[in-house]
Amino acid sequence: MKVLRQFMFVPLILFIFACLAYAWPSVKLHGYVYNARNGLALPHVNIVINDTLGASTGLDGHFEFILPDGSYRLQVKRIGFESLSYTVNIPEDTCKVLHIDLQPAVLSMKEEITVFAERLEQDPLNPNRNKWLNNTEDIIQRFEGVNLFKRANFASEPSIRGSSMGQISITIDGAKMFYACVDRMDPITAYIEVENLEQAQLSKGSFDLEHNQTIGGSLNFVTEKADYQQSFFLESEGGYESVSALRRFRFKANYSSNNDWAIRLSGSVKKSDAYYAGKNRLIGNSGFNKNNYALSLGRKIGSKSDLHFYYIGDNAWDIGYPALIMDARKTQSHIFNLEYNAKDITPLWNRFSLKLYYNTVKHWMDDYGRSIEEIFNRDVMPGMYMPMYGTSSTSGLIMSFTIADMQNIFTGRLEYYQLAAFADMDMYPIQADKAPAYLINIADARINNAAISLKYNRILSRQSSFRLDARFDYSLRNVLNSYGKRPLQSLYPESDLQNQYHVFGISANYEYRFNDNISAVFKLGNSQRLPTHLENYGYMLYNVQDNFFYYGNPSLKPERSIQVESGINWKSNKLRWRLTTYASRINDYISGYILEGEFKKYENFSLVYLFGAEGSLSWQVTNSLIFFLSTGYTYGQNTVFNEPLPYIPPAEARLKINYTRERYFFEGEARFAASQNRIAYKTTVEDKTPGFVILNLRSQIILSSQWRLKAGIENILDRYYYEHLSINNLPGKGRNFYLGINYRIN
Amino acid sequence: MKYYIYLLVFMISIFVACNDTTSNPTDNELPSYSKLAEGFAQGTKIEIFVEKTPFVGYNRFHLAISDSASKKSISNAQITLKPIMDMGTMIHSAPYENPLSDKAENGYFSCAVVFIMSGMWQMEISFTRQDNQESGTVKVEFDVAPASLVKKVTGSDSVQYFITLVENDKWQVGMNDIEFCLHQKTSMMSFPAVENMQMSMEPWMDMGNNSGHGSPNNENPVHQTMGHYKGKVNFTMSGEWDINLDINNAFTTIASTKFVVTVE
Repeated sequence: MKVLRQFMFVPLILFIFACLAYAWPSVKLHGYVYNARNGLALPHVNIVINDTLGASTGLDGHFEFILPDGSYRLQVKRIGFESLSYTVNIPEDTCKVLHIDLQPAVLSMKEEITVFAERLEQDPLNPNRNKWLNNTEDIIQRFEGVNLFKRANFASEPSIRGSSMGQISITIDGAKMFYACVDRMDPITAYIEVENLEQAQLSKGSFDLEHNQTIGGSLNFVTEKADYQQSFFLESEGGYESVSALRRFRFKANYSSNNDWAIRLSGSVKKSDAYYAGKNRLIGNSGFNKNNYALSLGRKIGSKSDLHFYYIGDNAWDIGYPALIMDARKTQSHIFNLEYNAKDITPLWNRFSLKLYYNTVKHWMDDYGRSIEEIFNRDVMPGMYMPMYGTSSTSGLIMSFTIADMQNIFTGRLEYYQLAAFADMDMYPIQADKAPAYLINIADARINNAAISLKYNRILSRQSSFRLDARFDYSLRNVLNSYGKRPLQSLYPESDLQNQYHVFGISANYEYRFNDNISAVFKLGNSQRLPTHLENYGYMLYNVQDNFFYYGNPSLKPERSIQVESGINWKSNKLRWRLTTYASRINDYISGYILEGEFKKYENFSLVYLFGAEGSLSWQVTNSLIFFLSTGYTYGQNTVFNEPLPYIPPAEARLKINYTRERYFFEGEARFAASQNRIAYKTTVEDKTPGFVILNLRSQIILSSQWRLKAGIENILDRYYYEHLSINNLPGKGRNFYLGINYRIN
Repeated sequence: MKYYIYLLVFMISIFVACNDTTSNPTDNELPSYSKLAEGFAQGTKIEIFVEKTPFVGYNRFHLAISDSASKKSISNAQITLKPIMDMGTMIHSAPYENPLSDKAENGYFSCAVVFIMSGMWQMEISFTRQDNQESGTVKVEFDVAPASLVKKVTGSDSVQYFITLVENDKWQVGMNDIEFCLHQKTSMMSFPAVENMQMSMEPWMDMGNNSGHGSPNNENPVHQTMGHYKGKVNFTMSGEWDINLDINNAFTTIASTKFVVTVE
């Protein structure tokens, strides 16, 4: 904190100087920057005016300047894109709006396998972050305020500012997809891979309701589409990690013709043995096998619209879950997406898109790989094998459009999806004279959801802008499997099984710029989140954390949250910092209530609270050296049980130093996690987690235009540690040497 | 190519609303009884119908009485039962329930017997017709098949109790109605119903090796009439379940027993 205080002193001085030099300007120049290849808004584009004044675009691709009238030379630059120069004349007392399409730079574009941006907020941790990513978790983990639930060395589940599961939304290109495993072994991030992705968008809290009704935040993955601009491109990468003897290979290739149609293929295979935690402790049964393949096809229709199809398939097998009592034997997913996009339809009507999607997941798990001793000695259901199967299929339709003029941007979205989910379980006693048993965990649950969401941005004045988000969802739910229905009817009358929800969420963002350097953001949200299909209809779901069997409750009310967030941002050429505080009051919080014995039922509880603060700072010391610091803390309290909320990550800080010079990139990172002593012991059973420090070193070296090398050491000190969110205190990886060799031609 | 089908299905699913399956109306048909035996006495014919071939447990009997000369069905008569097992060295009876009314319902006089052991049983049916005031006794014999629905337990009060699980055609996953009969033995020929006890019931799935689990939301059987106790049992999954039952008086547990049922 002492270090932080010193850095806060610097912007304060700059602020005073800026105020002295400041003269109220009379015109405004603003605009949007898009990726010419796919029409997506481009964040983090640097706009420089007359080589002196600079700004960068937000997630929506928007930038603005307040200037005296006159003529200006604009330079538009972004890593991975061709730079552009403009000269603009701004007559007196007008507002000039620009729409800029940036062409991807053929050579450097592909460095950015994934482009990271936080929605609605600038992420100071942006540059050079994607030079070593191995999987989607590496992406998520780089976001400030995001932590992961670890159950295995595979597919961790994200938590945003202490909110998780049904409280947050995870989507792929805005499409809904649902896990198939009732033990949440397969968050949907397991079914996409780094080489599929272009961007990960994070919004914390309930302030962006575009993709879902949410109270905790939303994470949307934007897939990389076939590129019309690249006639031929091929990239492949092989890698190895010492800690788990992970062997991986991935590739992506693009081919296009006449700027008219394009095809993109990508794929990867991974094989991992059991990993070692710190101090050379082998975590048995923690290996996995995985492959993923994707096809993307694009066809232009005229100059302003195109039709795009993609498919992503994923298979994984023999995945060990050391923290659980079962392992995933096999998972399989298929994602289909068909999309029509049009832009610049009329001067006002900027964009229209229509998307149809379908995805399906199948998940098999069992305990056949566990020893007889373990099966006889485990706490729950000892003495039997219990293979479980789960499946989910989601189909949906999204129609969205944007209307914008100089001061207003209006985005509307209509959405419908249907989820069908089923899960069951066999029990085979090992003792020969006992009969087998069977049960259905999800009795073909159907969720039909229709929604309308509206987003309205308005530039109120030269200093201030305003955004309003509203979303209405209608959700009709039932279970269809008559056999699986019967046990639910033992708890609820038939008439209660069918349920419908009407939920409405609204949030407002207000930003005020005091000058070019300093701005303040204030956000208010009043939103709800719908129960998940497991919370509504799950039947005898075992929770390894508290050893209870959970029953769903079809009559659950949505969780309701009122949130407030305020932040202050400072940016200059060299230095940026940001401080954010937030608070959320949640009514009808969904948690387990002890029914009797070993059974719990989901019920609503009022109230719980979440408070927190985040701070971050980036300082460009020299052209090649950047220093980053970020820290965050969340406090959660359940007033019903008078105990802390469960699964709240401890205070954390990350310190990073990036050094980039010509062909070399180095990053040194220190991650500090405080101990977490505020634990839940009534709603679930947590234990205290000691703090830790992890040091990582990463690098990339460009050997030639075709070859590059990625290498690094993670957990240099070989610390034995575990995250607070690690289920059953599953330890993190020990010292890991990794190496990747990347080859590209185009 | 399979995926084209998926896509097609997906397209269709967008336009097809989710239909609710309407549940079939419950069948109100009369159960079909099969004839077990018949006998004659005093110009009266008694036909004995059963729902199932007699077994050790709670058996319902449906008696059809007619005039053997006119073949006219008789709907008003007073009927009493007496089941007897002759074991050579001794004879004994079993708990039974005489028809509740002197009037036939749907042509039948319904009554019940709890057979407490398998083998050849004799049943004496005594009647008094109301039309001609004739009375007599019909004796029939039939075989009773073994089953494990009756438990004989000597209570801590030294009384011999017979606890009967009234048979259910199909135990289903989920909530089931459950019914027990409780009788005590006061002599070889007398097995009166016990009406003043409390029952506590716990279903348990025993998976062997000291493992297993119960279920929530069960309702302990409560006395209705004539030694019948009714409650609700919840089976969380299919398979073999134990139903553990304690018989309690106001102060203490008198007797305990266990039934095993198969849940589909």
